[in-house]
Amino acid sequence: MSHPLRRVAIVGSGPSGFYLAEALDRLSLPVAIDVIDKLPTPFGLVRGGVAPDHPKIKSIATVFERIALRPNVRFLGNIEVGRDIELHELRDIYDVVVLAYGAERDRRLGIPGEDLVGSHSAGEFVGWYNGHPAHADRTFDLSHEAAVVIGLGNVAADICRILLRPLSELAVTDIADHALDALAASRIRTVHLVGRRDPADVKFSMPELRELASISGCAAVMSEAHFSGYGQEHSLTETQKKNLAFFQDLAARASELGKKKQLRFHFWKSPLALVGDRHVEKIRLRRNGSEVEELPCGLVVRCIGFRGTPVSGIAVDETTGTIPNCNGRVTEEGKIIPGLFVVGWLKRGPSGTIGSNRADSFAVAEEIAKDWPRLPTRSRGEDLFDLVQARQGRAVSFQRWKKIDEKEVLAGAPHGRPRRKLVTVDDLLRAAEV
Amino acid sequence: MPVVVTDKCHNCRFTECVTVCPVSCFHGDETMLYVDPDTCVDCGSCIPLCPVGAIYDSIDLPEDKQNWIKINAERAQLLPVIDSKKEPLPTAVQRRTELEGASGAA
Repeated sequence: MSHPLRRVAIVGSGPSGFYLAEALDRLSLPVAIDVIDKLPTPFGLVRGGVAPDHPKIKSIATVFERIALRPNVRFLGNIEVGRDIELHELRDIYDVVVLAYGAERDRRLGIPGEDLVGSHSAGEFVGWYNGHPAHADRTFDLSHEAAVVIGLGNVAADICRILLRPLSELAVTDIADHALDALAASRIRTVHLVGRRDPADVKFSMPELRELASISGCAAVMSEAHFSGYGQEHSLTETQKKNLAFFQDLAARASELGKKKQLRFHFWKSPLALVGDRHVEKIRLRRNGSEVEELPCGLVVRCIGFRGTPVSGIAVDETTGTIPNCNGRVTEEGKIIPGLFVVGWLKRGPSGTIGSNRADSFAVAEEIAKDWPRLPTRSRGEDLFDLVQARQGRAVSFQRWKKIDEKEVLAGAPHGRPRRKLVTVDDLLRAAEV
Repeated sequence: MPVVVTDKCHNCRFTECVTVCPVSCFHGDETMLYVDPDTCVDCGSCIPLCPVGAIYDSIDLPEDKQNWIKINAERAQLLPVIDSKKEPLPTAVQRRTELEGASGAA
């Protein structure tokens, strides 16, 4: 039996959204897919999250570009659900709506002093150096010698590298101009990387961990002088063994005197409070549940996870930060909402690599295909692009995004940079000529 | 540095790796997979997923497996992309048991 053409909207144009578009396109179902983003630019965290000194990972955008250019796939930028269109309207225009807008809200430490000047979330800092329009006008105090980064995962690793790398290495990346200028004046010499976990249980991927230990001009050291392991290696997983071996090796390394900067790894330490008058001056930590230690610092960035944001009546479980679902089918009080799905960080929580989203989105596409014959036809044939153009006139097609892309790349070329990012929505829309 | 598939994949081909590769850089024949080093973005996502530990970051590659760098580069050029999960080869489970036995004895 042949199926009628169905229309699918994917809300969010990051990895999970584009991999879902790819997966749906491959199912040989008659489907037209619109990938919607609230920003004028596509690719989500590949543009706004992946660190600028990881150009190879950024190049994953070319995979998404190929998907966006398939005949039955459209990118529609500068369309925000709740601002330009309501979710219930999307559900009337499309047969299937998939929420793929990630986890933008930072988790908080919930300790005294967290709102002092100089205390920031990872989202703010990462968005700032990546030129995300929501964070481009932030300022960070880099005038103190020591900074603290809380968390033992890849986001924390990225932030440490950006704070510690020689400026000459950042100057050839697509880091936002305002961040490059601010980092040029940075006086930070020591970054304390602090977490509650054990060295075996760090969440860094091995390539990220190795990079942390080999930043030029920066010594990576263990804050524990006598760290050697614990003699129960036999019960560890392969990943735990590798992590442990890495830190044992680091601890045994001769101290790298003569290096100007230092990255200090702190394990088994929980933040108790940020202390200061108006501005953060030090962080108080508890080690192994007993001893209390204080580290002077002028900047604290917490990288302890992200939560999804609720949309138009669809609630987020505050514990997991995800939208409750059954293999990707959005549920409300345990009941499936037909035709509404969720993928990516919003479905699973903020963990894994970009590639984890591919496996996940392909699995959800299979679930969508299972429901396909039973889904009610909702689409009334209205076109979202036309509708939004009538409302605000500034929707950005993929061809318009390419105008932004070309201008950014052109502006970067004389400086040996892959691109110079435009960082305000106004500038982006002007470049898109919409 | 790109990742490298080694002979441990031979007769296994579990293909867990291809599901998480963000750039679809795995190629394969009837017996195993190979990585195209020009496409691989060195994210390392595939390494912990391999049930037999056949995939290495090239800087971790043991001395006796260095030849696989060249083999991956050459074979990947000739073979089709494998980017969705396939049934493991019928020999896979037995092969995994043998490999586990070999590493346990080492």
